Amino acid sequence: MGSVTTNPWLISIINMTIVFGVLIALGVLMSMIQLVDPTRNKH
Amino acid sequence: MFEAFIVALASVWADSGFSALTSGNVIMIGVGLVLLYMAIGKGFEPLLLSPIAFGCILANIPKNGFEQPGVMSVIMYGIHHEVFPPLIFLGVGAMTDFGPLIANPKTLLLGAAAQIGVFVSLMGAMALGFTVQEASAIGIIGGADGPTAIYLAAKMAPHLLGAIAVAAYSYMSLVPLIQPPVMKLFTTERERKIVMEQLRPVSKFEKVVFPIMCTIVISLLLPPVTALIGMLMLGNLFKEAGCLDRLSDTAQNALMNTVTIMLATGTGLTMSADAFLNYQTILIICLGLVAFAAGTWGGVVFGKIMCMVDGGKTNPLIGSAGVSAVPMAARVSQIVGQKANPANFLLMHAMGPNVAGVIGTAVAAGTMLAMIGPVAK
Repeated sequence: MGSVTTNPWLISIINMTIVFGVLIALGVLMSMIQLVDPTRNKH
Repeated sequence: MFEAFIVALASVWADSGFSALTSGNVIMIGVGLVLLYMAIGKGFEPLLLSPIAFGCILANIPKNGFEQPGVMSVIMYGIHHEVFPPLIFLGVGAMTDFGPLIANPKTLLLGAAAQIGVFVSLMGAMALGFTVQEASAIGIIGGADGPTAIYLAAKMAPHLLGAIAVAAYSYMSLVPLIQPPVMKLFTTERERKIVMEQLRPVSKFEKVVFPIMCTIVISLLLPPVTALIGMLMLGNLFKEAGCLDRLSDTAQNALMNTVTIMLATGTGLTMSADAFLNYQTILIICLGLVAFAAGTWGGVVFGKIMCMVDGGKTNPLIGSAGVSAVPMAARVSQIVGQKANPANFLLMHAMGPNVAGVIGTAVAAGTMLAMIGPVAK
């Protein structure tokens, strides 16, 4: 795929949004893993 | 007989490297010697800098025949076709404990905020006339993650690979010098003294499931970095599974050391005079420093915001560890925090943003590959 844009501001804003979005999604994933942890009650 | 001796001597001279040695080669051999001194004499990242420096010296020996099939061409193949960075990530994963991150998932945000250094240097590089692909590869220096920087440079700006790799690894070794002034400048004494609560224990189930789910989610979202994230998490699975100790041991010791030799020597081999001695290299070195400082600033400032939101429970110093450079950046947070308050132990808290930074840098690299695309080889 070719370059979507060459505007550095746009690249930065889109990229930062995706980085934050993915890491927030990972945070949600971690919380879900903790919730479904079958060994949780043992702690 | 004397004449035959002279002819033979002239022939040996003509075939020798001395006859083709340029002033550029001499300068780069000098650079290699200085880097060797820094590595062995001063102890700056010796495991990486020594083979890089030696590779630099080897690359500047004229008529070295490295373009012919052989071990050097195999090493260069591994560099230019991104074989080594994912293998390094396998070892990094096997050595990484995601426990502190899983115990305190909000520190993921600090790892994301510290990626601002990537984009500050990207904008700076484009303002200085680099193409969008070159600027993206230069920007990732700010992620303070050598393998990702090499991975992206090989795909987006292979002609700048040497300068980018040297800048990334040099600044990673200088993290203890670059970060503390920025951290102190943007935090108050009271903030640096904040003692954080102990982290909750993380179960084995969480530690095993996390790398699997993380790989599936990130790889589906950003396929260009599947090799990096996949190998990082596979290495971590080796570590956490409990029944793969032999594989974990190989990944974090024998394989890691072998690949480090290949990757670092190969990085040095890209530092030939004609590819390295130019104005662009100086700009890249300067932009790398800006990227590191900006990344540290981004992490610390977001740490301050987090501190305000959670009522002073977060020490903003852990934000600077979001620039990756595992585990050195986390150690810097610990050292600066302990100087302000000797009873402060921030190391485990800083490991959360530190490993989040590794994932964040890989995500930023994948997004740039998806948005801008690699250069045609």
